[in-house]
Amino acid sequence: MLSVTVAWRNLWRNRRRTLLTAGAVGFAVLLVQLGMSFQAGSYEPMVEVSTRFSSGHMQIQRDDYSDDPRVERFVSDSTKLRGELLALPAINAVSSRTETFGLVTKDERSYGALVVGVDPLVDPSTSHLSEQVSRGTYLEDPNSAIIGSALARNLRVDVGDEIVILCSDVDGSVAFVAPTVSGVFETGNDTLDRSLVQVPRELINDALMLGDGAHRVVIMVDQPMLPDRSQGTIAPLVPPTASLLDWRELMPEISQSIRLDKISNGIVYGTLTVIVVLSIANTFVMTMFERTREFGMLRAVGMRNSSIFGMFLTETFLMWLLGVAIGYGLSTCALFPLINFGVGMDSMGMDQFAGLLFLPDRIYPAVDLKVILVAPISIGIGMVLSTMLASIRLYRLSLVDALRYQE
Amino acid sequence: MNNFKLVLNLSLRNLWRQRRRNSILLVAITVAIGGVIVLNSLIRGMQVQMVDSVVENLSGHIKMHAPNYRDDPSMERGFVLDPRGVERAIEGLPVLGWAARISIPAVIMSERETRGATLIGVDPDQEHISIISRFELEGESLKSASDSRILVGRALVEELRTKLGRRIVITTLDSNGMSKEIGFRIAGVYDAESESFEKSLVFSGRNALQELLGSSKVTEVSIRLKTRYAQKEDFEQVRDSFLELDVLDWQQANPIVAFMYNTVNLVIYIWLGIVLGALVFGLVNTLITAVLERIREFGLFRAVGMRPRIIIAQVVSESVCLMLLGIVFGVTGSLLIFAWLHNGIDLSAFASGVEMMGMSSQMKPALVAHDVLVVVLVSVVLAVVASFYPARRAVRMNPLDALRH
Repeated sequence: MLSVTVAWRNLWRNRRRTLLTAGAVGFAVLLVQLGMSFQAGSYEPMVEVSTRFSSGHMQIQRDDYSDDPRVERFVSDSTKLRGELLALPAINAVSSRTETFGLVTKDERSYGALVVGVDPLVDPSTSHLSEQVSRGTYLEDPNSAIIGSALARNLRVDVGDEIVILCSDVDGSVAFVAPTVSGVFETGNDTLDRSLVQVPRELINDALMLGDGAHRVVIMVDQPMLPDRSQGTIAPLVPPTASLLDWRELMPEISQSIRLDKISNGIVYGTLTVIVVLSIANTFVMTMFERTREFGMLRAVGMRNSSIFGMFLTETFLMWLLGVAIGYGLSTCALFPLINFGVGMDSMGMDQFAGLLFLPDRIYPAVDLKVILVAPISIGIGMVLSTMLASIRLYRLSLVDALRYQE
Repeated sequence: MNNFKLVLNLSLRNLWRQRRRNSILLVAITVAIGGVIVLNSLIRGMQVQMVDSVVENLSGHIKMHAPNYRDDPSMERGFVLDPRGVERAIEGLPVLGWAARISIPAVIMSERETRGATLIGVDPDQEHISIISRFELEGESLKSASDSRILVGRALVEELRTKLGRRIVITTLDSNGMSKEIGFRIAGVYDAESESFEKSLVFSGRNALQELLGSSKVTEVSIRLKTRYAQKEDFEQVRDSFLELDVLDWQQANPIVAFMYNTVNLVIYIWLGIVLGALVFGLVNTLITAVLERIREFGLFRAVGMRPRIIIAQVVSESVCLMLLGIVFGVTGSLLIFAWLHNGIDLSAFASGVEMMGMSSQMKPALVAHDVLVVVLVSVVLAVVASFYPARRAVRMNPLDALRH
């Protein structure tokens, strides 16, 4: 206890320096924490928004479907599979989808589109598309379709018009359905608005002769950011010729941009930490020089080098505590309102791209253990190393030299 | 002049006197300056790449369409090309070339599969301005604007399960909005860097397409300049010559890339501020100590008649010398790293991620003299400001008090 009191008093012998050093620690902690909490807060919504647009958290597909999606590569008995999956505790929602490329025709105009067959009562639990219907209604009739706004404009169709969708069935012969447009959706994502049509799965499955087959069995889980956890429980239910893919494989662009973002931010935080630790090391070396005679005196009255080092280390620890407290204090002040109210994409001028880049409307920074600990721990390690560096002198100098030392 | 030499001499010796302390600070400055320059050059490289790939990938610097084309891309929204008008509009501009194209959505059918894509009619003689002339090809390229064969991307060929020399049928709308089916023979299969590019674009001769669709219209004209960025006046000159058309610069034609491009400028300065902010703590700490421990020395100087101004100048020049040395090391270090990264950083492991951001999978740093200059200037100013105040405090002390300190 005595050594702590002495160390604490030593710190305040040079108040300005202590505050500046602690300030540097606080500055680094604040910046790293702000940055990391925004990262932590944006990844999950990004995954959530992007998976809700199309892929879902996980999918069961036939093994060869993702490489080369063909109509005949479907998972059979999808309703039974869905029932089994829903019985698992980690799973929130399951929806089977049929997918094929089709030629959508209205009178003399025709455009190519991705035709997706969904179960209208089930699919809204895995996809936000039903909420994006801006005119008309979602699929209420067994012979209805919803279609992207740009595609509707280009085809010159509106709610109530009949369209014809031509595609090829499992045998490769031409199949067609002729649903009535019940709704037009506008997602903000140009690709979807321009080239997606959804129809009831039963309608398209009959035409394609798929029975109860589905190309994608879409699964939503409790913890999308930790897909490995639920994969173990789902795996036994996956049919032998099919495989389970998670969002990282389904949307590689999302998982890769998250990884890239983590790496580039890591470099930024690393550089910042190195600069701060170097200036702290510098301060410690200066301190050691100034106090050479003092340490000589302490040794003369019988204190051991190791005890002096211990005292020095205690000072470092207290300074670190002070710095981290400053950093935490500032970041709490900054983060508290942000966590509650979030930062709107519109305030950054990014709202117009939110649909395209799969960004949520608002980002709420998130604080987890990693956010709290990474900066203080890495700076702490740097400070201990700096203390050791500065203390080399303690062991090198003889008692007499230390006592005689003139600044 | 003599004073200057004296001051410089004294500062250098003082720096050397405290070499351990100063060398640690020097390392910190070097890391900071080097880090800022390297990171900025990477960010700039990314920015340059975004622009280059946008300009090269059919957008050009300036693009024009008929009004409403962007909302409803079709032959009906085409316009009649007036080559002389284009030539007049670009007169005096540093133009590398221009190309008139047809670009319309189409459905492509092979014997086995059907896919959607964009059909682009080009004149190969005009396409030295775009990536089309630089495709790696299996088979042949288009011979002329009347070549009625087609170039298809590798990924699309695989999806369609067809191959070079085979025929495909394309369904698209003609200039009256009527569906039309046209057969094409695949002249060449091209490889592009991006898979989505390969999947979504097919190319044929422009005049051949016009004939097949019964129209003399084109849907876009793209102009590429010799410079990397289009000047505002250049753009306005073209825009004002085509009042009846939508004339867009690359930023308007690619709003996402433009947004990221502009964000980058901000990121560079934020990063500079953070790093120098971190540096300032160490700098001020060291300088204050360096001044305080020499108060007696300064008192002595004053007692033997040195002017306060000279003492301040000495302290400031110490700090500036240290900073300059750090800048030299930092810049040298960053140049070495720059040379080492010369061939680019391979980001192919993140290919689809970087593609989403409009970058290529080879990240090449780009050194911008202006950025380095800003770093150097700001850090020198920082060195002056951080040393001036402690020095002034030291000389404000009464010389007698200082001597007794």
